[in-house]
Amino acid sequence: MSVTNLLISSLPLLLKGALTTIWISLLGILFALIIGLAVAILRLSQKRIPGRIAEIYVSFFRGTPLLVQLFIIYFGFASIIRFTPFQASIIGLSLHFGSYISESFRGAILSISKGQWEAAFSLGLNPTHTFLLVILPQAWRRAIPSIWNSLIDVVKASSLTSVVTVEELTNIADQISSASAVVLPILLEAAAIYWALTSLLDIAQRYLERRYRYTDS
Amino acid sequence: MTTDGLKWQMKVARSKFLRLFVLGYASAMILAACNSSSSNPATSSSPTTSALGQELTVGTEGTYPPFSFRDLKTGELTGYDIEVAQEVAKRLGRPIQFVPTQWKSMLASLDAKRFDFVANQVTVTPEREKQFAFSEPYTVSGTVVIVSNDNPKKIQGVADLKGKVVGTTQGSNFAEVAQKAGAEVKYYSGIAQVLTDLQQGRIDAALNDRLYVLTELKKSDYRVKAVGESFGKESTAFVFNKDSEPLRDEVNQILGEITKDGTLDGISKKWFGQDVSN
Repeated sequence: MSVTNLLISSLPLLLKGALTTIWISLLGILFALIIGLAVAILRLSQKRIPGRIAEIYVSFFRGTPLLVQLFIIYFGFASIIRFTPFQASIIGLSLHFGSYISESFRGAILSISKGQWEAAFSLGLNPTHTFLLVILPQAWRRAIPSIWNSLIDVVKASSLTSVVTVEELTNIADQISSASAVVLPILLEAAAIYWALTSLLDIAQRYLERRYRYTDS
Repeated sequence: MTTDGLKWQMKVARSKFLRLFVLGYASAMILAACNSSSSNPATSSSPTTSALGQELTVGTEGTYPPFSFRDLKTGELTGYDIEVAQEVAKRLGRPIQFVPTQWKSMLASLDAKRFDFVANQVTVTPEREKQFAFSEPYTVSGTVVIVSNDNPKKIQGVADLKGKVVGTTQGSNFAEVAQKAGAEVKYYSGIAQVLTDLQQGRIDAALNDRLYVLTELKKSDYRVKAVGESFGKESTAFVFNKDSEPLRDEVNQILGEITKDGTLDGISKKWFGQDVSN
């Protein structure tokens, strides 16, 4: 089989793997954003115990390899909770990248000036409303570029989930290159699919940045 | 940050809003745990004794031709090990489900009972026998040294590996052989990467199974060749969790049957052109 034929005939298999990659990435992104925001708020709250727990969480999940975390979640917890490969992957990705995203959120929230809080209070808003209606929208806009770095990373790091037997894009590409003894072209094909997926995130970022851009002076 | 700011944010944290988020996340995770059952063929089985009709789950690499690989035309897993396992499952009267798993997490998965057994040319070694239960062997092979066609280091066999850089797959028993021979070992995720690096001259030699070399190396375009005699007679067998010995005994009985009636010999000849089962 010529390389061109192989690239074409392997496409359906690769796209099937890409579908798994998309699912894992989407759910990972969703939960990572939720965790990130919650942890950022916990850390900013200055409440001793929850803040400390959030700090340790960030330190651990940002400070250890995702590969090791996946092994721990999938194999280490097997005697207590038997996560499916799919669940273990989503938990691993969202906890790992939630730690990065929480720092993006925290930095952005801290960057909003004190005057914004005071102005909101002087208008009679309570702290919850102030945070939700005044601070968070401004912080979100500032956080987008750095959060998007992490989101794109989620897509690429989903390739690691093959170690917990998820048949995602990289795993399928490995199988095809072993069966055909054609390595680099297949990897390039897989890379092209990854690039297409992350390009969609790029487009979303551009859209959001335009939408939330400052319009006042 | 000023104390004022801190005070406001303390209030924020106490608010219902945060609790809502934590609660929301917890329930979402629980939902995910309940719902998502796709791509997890191994979870439903708790490997004990074989029950008729209950699915047999089998760990295999799916990246190791001709033993376990994906047929690119049909998209299905196939190979010598796959067919032997399929024959065993057929005679047990149980449907079979293969779980493609990287070698480095294969035995850990078996340990965590993620599948019933492994069909992946697993060599029987004393160390592994302490941890796991092996079936009767269904392949006998040996190791050969592979070098690039121009062979710049003039390696003629395992005795020449001392001080050389030898590539092998992660967690394979070839790594141990290479270390014993005094070589510096480099680890790769699959045999394809090993051979690619070998022909590019980043490593001096590779070690692999004689049967792999017999069949696959000839078919592929790698500019590599085997040198010297094969050494270290090795048996490979299915591997079970120690708790699954009853199932292992059933499988052994069937392996005995298919050896006697020539089925195993037939599968072997189909893939290797010779009987490799003893």
